[in-house]
Amino acid sequence: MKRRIIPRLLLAFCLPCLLSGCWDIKDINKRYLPVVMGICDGKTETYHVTLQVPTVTGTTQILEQEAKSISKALDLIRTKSEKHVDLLHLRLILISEKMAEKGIDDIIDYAIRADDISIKGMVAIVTGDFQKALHHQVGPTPEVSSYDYFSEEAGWTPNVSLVRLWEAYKVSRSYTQDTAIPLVEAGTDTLYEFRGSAIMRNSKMVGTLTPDETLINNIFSEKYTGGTIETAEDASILIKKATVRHRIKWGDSGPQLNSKLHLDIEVSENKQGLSNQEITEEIKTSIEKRGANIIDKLHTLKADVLGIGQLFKPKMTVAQLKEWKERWYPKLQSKIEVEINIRNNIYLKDKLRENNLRM
Amino acid sequence: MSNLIEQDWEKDLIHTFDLNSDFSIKTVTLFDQTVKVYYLSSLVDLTSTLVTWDQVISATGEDNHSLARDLLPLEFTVDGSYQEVADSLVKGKLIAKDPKSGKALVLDADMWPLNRSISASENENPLQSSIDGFTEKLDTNIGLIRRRISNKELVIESYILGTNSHREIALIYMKNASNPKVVQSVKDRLNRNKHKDVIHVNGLLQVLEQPKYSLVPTYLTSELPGEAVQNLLDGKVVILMDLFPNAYSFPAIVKDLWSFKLDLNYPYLYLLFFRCIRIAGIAFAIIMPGLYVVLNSVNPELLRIQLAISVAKSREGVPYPSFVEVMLMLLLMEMVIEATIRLPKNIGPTITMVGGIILGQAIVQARLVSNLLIIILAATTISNFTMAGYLNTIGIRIFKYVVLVLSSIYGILGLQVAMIWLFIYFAALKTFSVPYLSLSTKGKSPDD
Amino acid sequence: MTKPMVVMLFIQLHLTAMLSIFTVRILEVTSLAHWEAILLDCVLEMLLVWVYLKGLSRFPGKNMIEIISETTGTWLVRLILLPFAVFLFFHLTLLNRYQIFKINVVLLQDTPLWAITLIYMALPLYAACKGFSVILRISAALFIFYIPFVLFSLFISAHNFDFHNIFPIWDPKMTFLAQPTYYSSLISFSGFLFLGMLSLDKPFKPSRLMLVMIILAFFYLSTVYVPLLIFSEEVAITFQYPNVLASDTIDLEWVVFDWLPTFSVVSSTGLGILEAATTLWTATTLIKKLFLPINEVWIASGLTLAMFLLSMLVRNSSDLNHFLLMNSIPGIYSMLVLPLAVALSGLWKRRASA
Repeated sequence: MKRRIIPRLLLAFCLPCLLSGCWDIKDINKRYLPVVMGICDGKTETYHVTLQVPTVTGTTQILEQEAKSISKALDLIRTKSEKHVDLLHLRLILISEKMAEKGIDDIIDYAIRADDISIKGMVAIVTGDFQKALHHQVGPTPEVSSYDYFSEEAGWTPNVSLVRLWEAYKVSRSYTQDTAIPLVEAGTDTLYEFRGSAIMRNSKMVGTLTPDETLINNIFSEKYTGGTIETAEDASILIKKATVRHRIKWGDSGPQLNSKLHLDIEVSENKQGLSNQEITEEIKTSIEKRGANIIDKLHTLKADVLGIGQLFKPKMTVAQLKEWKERWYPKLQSKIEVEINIRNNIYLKDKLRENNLRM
Repeated sequence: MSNLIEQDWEKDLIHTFDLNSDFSIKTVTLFDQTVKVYYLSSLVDLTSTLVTWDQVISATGEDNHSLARDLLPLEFTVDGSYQEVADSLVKGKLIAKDPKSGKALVLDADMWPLNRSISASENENPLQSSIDGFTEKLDTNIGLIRRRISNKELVIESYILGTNSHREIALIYMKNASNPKVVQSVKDRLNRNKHKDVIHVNGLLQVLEQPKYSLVPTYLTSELPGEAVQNLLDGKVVILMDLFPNAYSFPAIVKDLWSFKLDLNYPYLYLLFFRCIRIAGIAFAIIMPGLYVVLNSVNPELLRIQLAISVAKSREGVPYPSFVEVMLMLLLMEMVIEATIRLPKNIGPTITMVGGIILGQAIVQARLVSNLLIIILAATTISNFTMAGYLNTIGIRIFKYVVLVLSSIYGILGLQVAMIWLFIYFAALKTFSVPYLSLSTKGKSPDD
Repeated sequence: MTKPMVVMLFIQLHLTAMLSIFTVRILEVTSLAHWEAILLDCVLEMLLVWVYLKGLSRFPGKNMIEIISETTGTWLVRLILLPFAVFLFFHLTLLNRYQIFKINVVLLQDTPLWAITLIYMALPLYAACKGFSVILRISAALFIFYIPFVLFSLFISAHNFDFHNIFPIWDPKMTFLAQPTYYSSLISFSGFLFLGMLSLDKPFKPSRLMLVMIILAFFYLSTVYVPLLIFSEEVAITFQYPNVLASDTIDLEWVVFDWLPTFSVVSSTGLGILEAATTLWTATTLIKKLFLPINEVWIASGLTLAMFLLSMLVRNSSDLNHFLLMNSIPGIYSMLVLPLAVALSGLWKRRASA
């Protein structure tokens, strides 16, 4: 019996010690939970960090600070704020266009390294007035609307590109990939206006894609969660499903790529009463042309936004992999072929038969 | 004549019981002789006893005194030993003084009906099954079980425990279903601790050498013969105690936390459904308060942002850390439970109403706790009572405080550590060599 | 002590090992064709387990210590098993330390390390004092509760797989063989050593365990390939906890909770407690039988205290890596020598009786 008392006493002694230090306890109503972080050039220092904090009353509180490093700026914000600032729920990092042109490596590296930022947060570049975009408040929006704008379950549409932090980090280190980060501007009736995407090459913004080009880019990367609208001449179609087949070849001159894009579409508008055949033709040529344009553009910028290098991985040695962006990508010869399958005309019948009947 | 001389045992008896108002000494005529009888009038119905004897005697014919004497419910004759006479007296026997030898004759007498008749069980609500419950009389209870199992494998052994006060208990098991090791060790312990007085259930547990501090009970209690019978068929050993309307089934295993035996009266799918709900209930009851603290103050990153904001909103203005908040409310809840449990049925609703209003409305409006906590509290309490067996719920009710403390120190890690600790505790718990974490008590245990 | 329970423990010990340092080690060792390295490890372990079980099956009802001492004598067996004891001790210390660093980074940023260590070591001590049959029962209970979590956190990010990252798939030179780090990855396969301590009356059939190990090989492959497929090799190599980060790459609205890496950490640390309990029990039994015949509770408490103090001395992760590398020497020694010693004793016994 006596032997049992000693450990129990020890245990009893330990418990108050533990209770005295509830180190990580900080109640949720005593924390600021920012959802958006904006980073741009400071007036005097390197970084100007802005945090958008949704408040319990439904408005957004803005906290900002300038410093030589992001974490220092956050530290200063923490010092001046009434509550503890927690980046745990940070879901969107907005970077100014100017900053992006200089390179976002430092920002991405910080965000990945930080143990309180989830790497599934999203990155976007703000063109135009940065401060306006961040301080912008649109009347009846819920607390987290900036996040909802990019959320795949909420406001995201397929012509907006979507880059998560880990993807940005991945491509910044990857031998074979680059990415296009969404480009937004302060909106008038909504929070943001989509302005296309920024072409990033080794984490530096080197050019832009228009929203239409972004859509094509998304189709090629098979980032598809549902229907979208694509206008051909006098007709609109809904893309239901897009699949891409790539055929790769490593010839003497370097990599060669033949892509076959297969689209399942629905005709949603048809002003001139074109037959499905005609629509098919029209869309086929239009997409092929646009695709070729984008590829040309990316080629000249040496940015492998489509991740073609990934396709060639099986064919390359480790040495070739490392040289992909510099040496092999510019040499790439690519061809796009589009196949269209019109699934249906929704509630109407195909015009084709009507024409036949008339003839 | 010896009839007139007071024997030693009489003197002692009168001396001991003199202060008792129900101790009666009467002189009655028995077999045409005047006989002095001693008895406790609170237990023995003398008139009815004499009538019964008269009937017996008249049935066999008069004047055959020796025969009549054989017919009397004579238990034993004692010469001089006062102790046994006194013991018999308190058990409700009639002591007659043999007119010839002066010895004490201990006779079985008719007792006042101090037993409840078989009625519906008071504390358990059986659904879709027979509703009769055990009574306080041991023989009735054994009969209730016997009637349900007409099987020659059923064994009923009787033990009398205690030195100063005697308590009769019955040990019941199925020879073909129970684990012989369990039966043997129960018997060993009963024999070894025979001398201990058993007044209440705790005494019985001491006789059976059960651990003094145990989070979950090592036995099951039930007022329903149906439950006891199913426990017997499952290989458990059932102990019935005289004057207790409960059957105690040993050993309890983890499965008993969520399985009522009466579930077997339902189609199998429904049974599975009930049990799943109970398991979820256990998990909820243990985890919820801890999880609230975890989500609120240690690891809020687990909450979705939308939820985080609404939680923060509901806690706005609450002055305490969430640990204190939860502790406060839980304690209050325990008090409400404790207060309502034994109250008369017509006062109970008052407490419920006051508790409901105070807990549900005022305390939130006063910003002492958040609304979310009230929901958590309600969920915890309700889920706690989904468990099978009232005794089991108490262990879980206690354990949630362990979870609460650990999770407020270590967050989600503390929650998991507490759960693992519970697993280790269960894994180490053994009752009569049956590990608590085994899924069946039938036949040979899945030995360690 | 039933065989399914032992198999469950066996699986969980391996899962713990693979969810801790294994992924990082394999990624460090080679930049291409990781499966070669992993499968080579697996095949090696299968071989060793086979030899071990064959040896043990000659001595029903005896444990490895008794078997070896039967042929070699007390002093030699102490000498042979001393590195094993050393390995167990440091293995436990270092892996605990690894888990605690991980908890510190992902779950509890402000809680001091000693406090986490305290709670993290208390449970294995409690379990180890209760004996092996209790550990087995815990493992059965945890198996039901944790395997879904492990599978969930491992494969949740499947949506982000880019199968092109599998390439280059073939490495004819097997350059990893020249790396000492590769051999330290072998200790992630040391989970079979406890089998020798069981004194089973009816020994395991090796063939049945081989099936389990084929399934495990699949898990070993996936722990490495999940981060690899998501991040690609050149990126995954920069991470300290690739599996944890891999589970953070996806945003699932239907999961009630938001921060999915928590599941990854919670499940791997939970299993870590089980592993620590088993290792502590093995070490305690070993010490009791060979060196110090006193009550297990005292040995286990002493070991835990020593480990607690020692783990406080490991101050940063590079030290930890260094020590882990050093500890792989006794580790590999015990993985090779124990099966061989048991098998040789078996041969010896047969020859002696023949």
